[in-house]
Amino acid sequence: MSALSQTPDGRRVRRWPRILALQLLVWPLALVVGELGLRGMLAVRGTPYAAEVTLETLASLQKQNRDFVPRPNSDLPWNPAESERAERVLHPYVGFDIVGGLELLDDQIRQIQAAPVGEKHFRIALFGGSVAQMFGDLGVPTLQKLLEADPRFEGVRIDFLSFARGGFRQPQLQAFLGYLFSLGIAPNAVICLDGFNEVAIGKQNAVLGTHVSFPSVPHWAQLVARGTDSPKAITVAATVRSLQKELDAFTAWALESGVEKSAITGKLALLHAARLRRRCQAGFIEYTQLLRSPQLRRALAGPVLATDGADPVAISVALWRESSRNMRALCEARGIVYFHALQPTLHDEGAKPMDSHEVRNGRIDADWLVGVRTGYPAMRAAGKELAAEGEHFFDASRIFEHVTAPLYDDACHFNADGNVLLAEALGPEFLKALP
Amino acid sequence: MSDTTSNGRRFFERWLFWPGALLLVLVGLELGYRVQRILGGKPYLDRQAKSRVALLDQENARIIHAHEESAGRVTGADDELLPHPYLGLVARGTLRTLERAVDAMREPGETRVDVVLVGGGATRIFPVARESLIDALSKTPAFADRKIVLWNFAEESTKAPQQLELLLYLTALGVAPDLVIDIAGRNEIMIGCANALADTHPVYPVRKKWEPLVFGGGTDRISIDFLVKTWTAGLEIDEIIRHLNAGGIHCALWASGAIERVETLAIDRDLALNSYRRRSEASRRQIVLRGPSPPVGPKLTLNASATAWYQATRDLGAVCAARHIRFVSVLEPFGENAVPGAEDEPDESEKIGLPHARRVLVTAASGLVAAGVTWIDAATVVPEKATPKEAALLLVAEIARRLGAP
Repeated sequence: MSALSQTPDGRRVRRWPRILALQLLVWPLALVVGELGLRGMLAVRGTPYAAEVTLETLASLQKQNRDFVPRPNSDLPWNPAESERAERVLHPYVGFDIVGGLELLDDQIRQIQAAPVGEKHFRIALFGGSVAQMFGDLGVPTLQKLLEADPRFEGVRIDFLSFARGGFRQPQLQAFLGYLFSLGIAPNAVICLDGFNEVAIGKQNAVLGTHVSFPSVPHWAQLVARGTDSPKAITVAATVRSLQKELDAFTAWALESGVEKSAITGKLALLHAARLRRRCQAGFIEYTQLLRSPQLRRALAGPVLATDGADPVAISVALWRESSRNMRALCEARGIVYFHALQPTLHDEGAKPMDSHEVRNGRIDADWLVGVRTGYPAMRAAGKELAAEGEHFFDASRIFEHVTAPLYDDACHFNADGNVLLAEALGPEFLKALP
Repeated sequence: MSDTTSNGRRFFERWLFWPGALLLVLVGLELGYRVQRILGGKPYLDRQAKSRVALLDQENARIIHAHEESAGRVTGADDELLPHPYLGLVARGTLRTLERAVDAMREPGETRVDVVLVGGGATRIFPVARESLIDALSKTPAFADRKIVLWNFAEESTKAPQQLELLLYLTALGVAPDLVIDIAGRNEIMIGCANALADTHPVYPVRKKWEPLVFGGGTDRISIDFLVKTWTAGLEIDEIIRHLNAGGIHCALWASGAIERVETLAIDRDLALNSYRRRSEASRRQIVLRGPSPPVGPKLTLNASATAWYQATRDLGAVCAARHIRFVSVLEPFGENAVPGAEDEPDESEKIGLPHARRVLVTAASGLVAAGVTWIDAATVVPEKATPKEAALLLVAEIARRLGAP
């Protein structure tokens, strides 16, 4: 095995230049054959190699790699905010609020504190969900005119304070009232316009595994899904981030270096990048699972009560009734008029003859429909009970029963005309409740 | 003999000379380095290095979690805090109490008296007087011959309006206890003032516990990177300190560089941690933590804190009255009237409202009496220098007396 070999004439010659030359010839040839063979095999399989596809795949892996925003409750529905002011945030006493709502409350407190001494005010606080919120914009001007026409309001400035928020429902409304009183805010009257969210969302919550008494899952769940700072989760996050950085660096190099020009190097690059991506995803899933911990699920699910398995709609109605009793107790102890109205809704049978526009736009989630169909008759009955106890309860659920013109924009929100009609129905009843 | 000498010499030359020479060089270098440090005015002292390393180790161990308040709370433990939509935050154990209480109270209970304890003060009073309270209540005519069941919802930092929100929630769930005892005042003033100083409204839950629930952990890539950087630096610090403690500290040549490295890493770690926390609190997220604009100045802060207590207690009274629930409100002894040993020393920010707290609360309480609330000022019942147990027993006796016990 010497580097020298002997020729037949006995001369000793060096072998390594020949070996080197052979290597230089064979390997490139093998590569070319391999490249052609691979391309041929891929073409026969019906997936011919294309450099552009390799580039696109690498670029796509690089792009996907930029996501690292875990959504631990991504299996639950989520109502995204339509604007920055509508962005929902956690609130300690009402579950969630919107940024605009928090800013509005700040303004309302300032407005009350800055009210000129001596001026006669009558402040009416409006509570409820999105229907009440829209009523604040579209129905309150009519209601205000009706009230101002009453001699009792002569020389009195009427201010409406809206504490209605999209998705709010009992017992959030009673919690909001208690919180406002603790802040020192005391209106002269409270109007609570509710009903739909209580039964529709109550049923939906139960289906989604959250207690009926908790806030609407699609509004609240993602806010509870915070990150985690536990050592285990951070270790997983660190591994994923290091893999992500490796993938970032590799795809950037591969995209620059022209590996896609060869089927062999292109495929190898794709394999390596895909393997890194798979590892990133596995880590990401593990991280998300850690966030989706029993702790957070416990916080989200609410109490586990022995008797709450039966009928979520019946429980929703009971919550609505008891919360209203509490609101009345809070108000009456302070000499505040409490007025409670059951809002009308499209799918409550007999509430309104639906026109074609309403049939088309008023499609409703199956759980919501069950909530409305079974909950509204029960709320009407519970409302009578509340009224018999002395509560100023107004059943407004039938105020559109003879209106054939389209009023509803969707399953529960009505347009300006509907809000004016509601104000016209509600005004005289509210005036009856005033001393 | 000469063979032995020659063998010994060969063994020395072959096996010991070079390692020995290397060791001597290292010792020389170590000594030289120590001399250089002395001449440079910064002598390397093992004892000093040890205490520095211990301090760095201690700091590093503290930063296990991004938020100190979440440290040490084991998942699933009774004191683990969970976000709650109506109470702000609640200990897991309290959540279990709520479930058991609601289930029990939904059962017909002619022979049972359900007593709900709320307010931060209850955590300081009742652990030592639980049996006495049961005994005293069973002697009141209204509850005679019935089994007294205590449902303790008090948590160390509960404050108004959390007690009110709890009762509203319980009653909305369709249950009504027979008696509600609220022992409060201290947290409302002291936490309220500390909250305001930290730019959080006094009516909000205790900021240092509310904050980690709002911002715990990173949910975006940059936040996670900050956390990871903090965590990685912490791990590297741990590793170096382990080597130092394993004896490396006595080698000035390596140890001084290692300590410098630990110090640099600690700075990197703290910077990353601060950036993470700042990011958490950035921009509009602050409004979540803060609530309405907090009052400015000690007087307004104290007023806002006292208002929260007064209004929420009054509302507790109103809800109880409407639902035929007996209600007793106790202003716990705190500040200058504190029972020695019954509470932890408050921190400086909590002390802000103390000088006038009692006067403000007692003045506000006249409104409670006018509203028909059974109100007890513990400071008038508990003499100075009473032990926590004596104080609790006196208070229990007074509560029972006010409820009609002979």
